[in-house]
Amino acid sequence: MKKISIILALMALLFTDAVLAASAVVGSLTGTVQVQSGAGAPRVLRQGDEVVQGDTVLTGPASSVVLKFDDGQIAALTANSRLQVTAYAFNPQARTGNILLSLVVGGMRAITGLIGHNQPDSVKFRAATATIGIRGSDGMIITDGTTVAVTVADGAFTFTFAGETIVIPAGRGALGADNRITQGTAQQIFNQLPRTFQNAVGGLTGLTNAINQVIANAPDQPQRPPPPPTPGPNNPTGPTGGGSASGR
Amino acid sequence: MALAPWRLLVAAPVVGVLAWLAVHAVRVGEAGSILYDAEREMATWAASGAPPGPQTVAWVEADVERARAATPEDPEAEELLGELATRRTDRAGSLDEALRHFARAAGLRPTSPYTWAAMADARYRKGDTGPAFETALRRAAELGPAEPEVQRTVVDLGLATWDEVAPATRQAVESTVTGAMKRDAAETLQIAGRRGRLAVACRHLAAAPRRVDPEGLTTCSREATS
Repeated sequence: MKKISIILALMALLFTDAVLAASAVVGSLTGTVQVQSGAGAPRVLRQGDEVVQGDTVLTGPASSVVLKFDDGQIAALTANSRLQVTAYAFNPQARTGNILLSLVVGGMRAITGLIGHNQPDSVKFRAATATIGIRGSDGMIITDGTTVAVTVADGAFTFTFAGETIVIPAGRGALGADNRITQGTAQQIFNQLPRTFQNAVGGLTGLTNAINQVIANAPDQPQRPPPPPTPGPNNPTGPTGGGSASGR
Repeated sequence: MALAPWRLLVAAPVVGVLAWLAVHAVRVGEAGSILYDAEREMATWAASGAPPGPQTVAWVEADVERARAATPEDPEAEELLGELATRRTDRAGSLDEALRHFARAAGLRPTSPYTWAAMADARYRKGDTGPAFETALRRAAELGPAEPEVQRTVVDLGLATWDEVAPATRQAVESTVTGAMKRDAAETLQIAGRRGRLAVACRHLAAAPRRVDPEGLTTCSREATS
């Protein structure tokens, strides 16, 4: 009986460890990017460094970073962004887990991985007072801490802002400001954005190659085709309002 | 059957010394056993890749502190306390505390490459990649050129800071890369790829005596053409 208890305890320990052993790796980086872990002071982040639950990633001016999580989730940040990995757990055996990323300020492009594919309800993004859930795989979120803009390139996002929840399908976007949501095509939303937000969209669009490179370098993921043309300051007539690294 | 006074005078100190030695041996043995258990426990954390909870770290830390109190000159205790402190990111100044332990461990056993590698790692985590970091990295490379664990740390941190370190440090890192490629080319290529420094590792592909799997060859030929 004692032996069975020990075996069960070991199995429980293994299962717990598998869930907890989760992190993101810096797949690509430009400029100055820092990470703050726990009570420590922010330190410089370099390519190949790990980011874990509780860490906050900060990008400086003219800087960017592409994070690749263990489940294949991608989070790309443009300049002057601040993202906290509020929760991240992944069980590689069961291919399940949960993700909560909080974008305090700046721009993020998120491409979902295995957790988003298997358990869409377990992937959430927060931006200012908005909560974004996923029903697809690829989108951009931009915030200045008050206003929040979301565009979807592939699949759909749920967007909760000021007590209202909407579903944003691919090619469309939403702007949450002054306690109300404005919906439209990704292009219409882009045109309404302040200059700083448009710059963030441009910055994220410019990260497409870096994102594709990070996805291509992953040993467990097939090479993906190049994305379609994307909108932005230099190309505001993209078909879907955001580049899709997935190419699905 | 009373002892002669002169015999008592000789025997008393001898018995005293023997008693002290016995007590000391028991304390050293107990401390060694505690450190062994702590090391084993910490090895399970490393093997699983799962971070232990703060409570678990605190328990092990308390045990190691107890062992250190019994054997204050044991560098092993200092090294373990340093490693435990690097895990206490919830505690302000934990990396400074870790560095103090590693410095004491290096003072007690300056030829341990593990201590210097751990010191370099703590400095890197702290964001301090200045001269002290480079010194620790170089010492680790020089003292443990064939130690797998040391090789991994030196290759990883050395390639992470490749553009920032002095030529002498870069040379020490490159020597370690050569050794690591000979030992396990696939693992070294993986570390170099993660750090975006495949070119450095691929330079030593031909020197690897063991056959490199086709994936490694493909990785390096792709790097050469990019």
